[in-house]
Amino acid sequence: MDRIFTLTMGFMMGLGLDQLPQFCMKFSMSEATKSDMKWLNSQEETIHDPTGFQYLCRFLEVHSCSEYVWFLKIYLEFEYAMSDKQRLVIARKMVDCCMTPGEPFEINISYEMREEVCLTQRKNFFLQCAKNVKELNARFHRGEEVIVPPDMFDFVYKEIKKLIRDNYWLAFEKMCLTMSK
Amino acid sequence: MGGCMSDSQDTTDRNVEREIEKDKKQDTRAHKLLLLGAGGSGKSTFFKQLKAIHGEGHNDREKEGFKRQIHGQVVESIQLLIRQCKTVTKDPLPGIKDEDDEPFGNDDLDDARLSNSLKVEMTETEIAQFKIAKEFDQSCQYLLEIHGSRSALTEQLVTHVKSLWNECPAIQAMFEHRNKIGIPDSSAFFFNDIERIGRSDYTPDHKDIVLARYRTTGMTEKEFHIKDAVFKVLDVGGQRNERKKWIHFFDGVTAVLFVVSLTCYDEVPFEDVTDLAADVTLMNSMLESIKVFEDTLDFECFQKTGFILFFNKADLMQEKIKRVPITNAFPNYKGPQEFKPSVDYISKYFLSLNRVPEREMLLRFFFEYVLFVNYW
Repeated sequence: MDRIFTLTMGFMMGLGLDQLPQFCMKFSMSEATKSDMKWLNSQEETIHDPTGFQYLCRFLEVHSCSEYVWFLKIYLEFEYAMSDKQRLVIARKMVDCCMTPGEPFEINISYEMREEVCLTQRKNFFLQCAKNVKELNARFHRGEEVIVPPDMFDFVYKEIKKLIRDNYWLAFEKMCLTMSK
Repeated sequence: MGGCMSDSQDTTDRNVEREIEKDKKQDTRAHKLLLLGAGGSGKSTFFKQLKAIHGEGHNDREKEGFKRQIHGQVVESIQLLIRQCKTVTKDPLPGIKDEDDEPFGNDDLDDARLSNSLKVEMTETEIAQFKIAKEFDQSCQYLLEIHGSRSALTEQLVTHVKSLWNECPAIQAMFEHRNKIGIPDSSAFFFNDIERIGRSDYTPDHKDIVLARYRTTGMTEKEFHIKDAVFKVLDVGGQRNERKKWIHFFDGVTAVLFVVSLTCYDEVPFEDVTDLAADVTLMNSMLESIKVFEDTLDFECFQKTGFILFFNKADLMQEKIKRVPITNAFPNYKGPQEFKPSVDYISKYFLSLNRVPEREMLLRFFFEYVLFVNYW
């Protein structure tokens, strides 16, 4: 169907029969490229597209930014979590892995941001609950619900996106476009 | 083993070896220069300068990126000034509380934030100078509702920023304490020029690009061809978490360009920024720079590597020294509160940290983005 459309388009543009194959080839290649990398439209789309995300992760790792790969992976896990219980465990992982000073995958955020996350944690007794899975389960069974705000890392995520954008987005776009040519 | 390999494998091996040799030769041809220094010292600014002078400059897409960064810096700085004023005076933040959005209500978090951030002991008169007058409530609300890093400067936004910056004494008073709350010096330049940078056809010029402040993360490298020499310059982030990565770039370094900000002796390091209560004599970016410099000198691989010490922001230091003595970071300094003796003391102090006499150490000074061998 696509080919018929492309041929008709070439025809309507007044191209001769000898020019049509070349036109079809050029057109389909450029379209294929565009559709392959649709996610490159925005950072948000790149992060939420499986292929785009792989590209971005690889790029960040090459530029010694593995901590953001970890952060983004855990963030997406948190975002797609189905229950408070799941979020609770992931939040703990996030804080331990990416937000604790001195950890190998510590991200570059301000004291204020770190404190904000910790305050939310303290408010919801995450740490105390998650320290012990048995205790956590017991609390759930007793009906002591822990509500984990699904947006608790959103402001950190925005900051990380900004850091990536300020430092690497143009270079990343350029790399992807060069690769697609 | 070799006998078992087919001819094609042999050829492939040889090709790979040849490629590796070629890469090695190219690597030895280039002088690897490593830009190091604590966060906010000016490594990336120096890198941008190099790119502008010896590289291909900045293309339109990059300029568009810088424009976005400058706009983001303006909004974030003004938001931070407003928030800090409100925190000190215990004024509620207008318009950003939406209880429907918060499953727990934010009251406890706000209380905790206030109790955390008001350790500073101030008299009523001192607090009063940070009180933002009622007439600016609309501007504050408008600006606080914007997501800083995403915002382009609209006409309305420019008007609000301009009115707060030019007419609100509390904002100016808070800006005087920028060393404690992590607001870049260059924000004043952008605030003063808000109408120009807010125009729809605005394109950042060289000065704007150099003054744009953002945190560098990871590592960026670029080759510069200066006369017949090839320099591979590596720019890295300077915050604490970034410094853990430095060791991966230490191989085959020709020289380390260590950048020190001369004005940071009363500035709170990025990771410790809280509020006006911060005690800059206990921890400041100069102390952090000294520590980082000492640690870098101690690396085994740098025992024979040359160091070039860049003292940056000398022009800003000339102004700051009139108000703030360097005793914040150098309590043993007994000289006059003047530029030349202070800089002399700082440079000698840094040089004294080198315990390997045969290691080459050079000093350079930056004035208004121009490099000087000496500062007088």
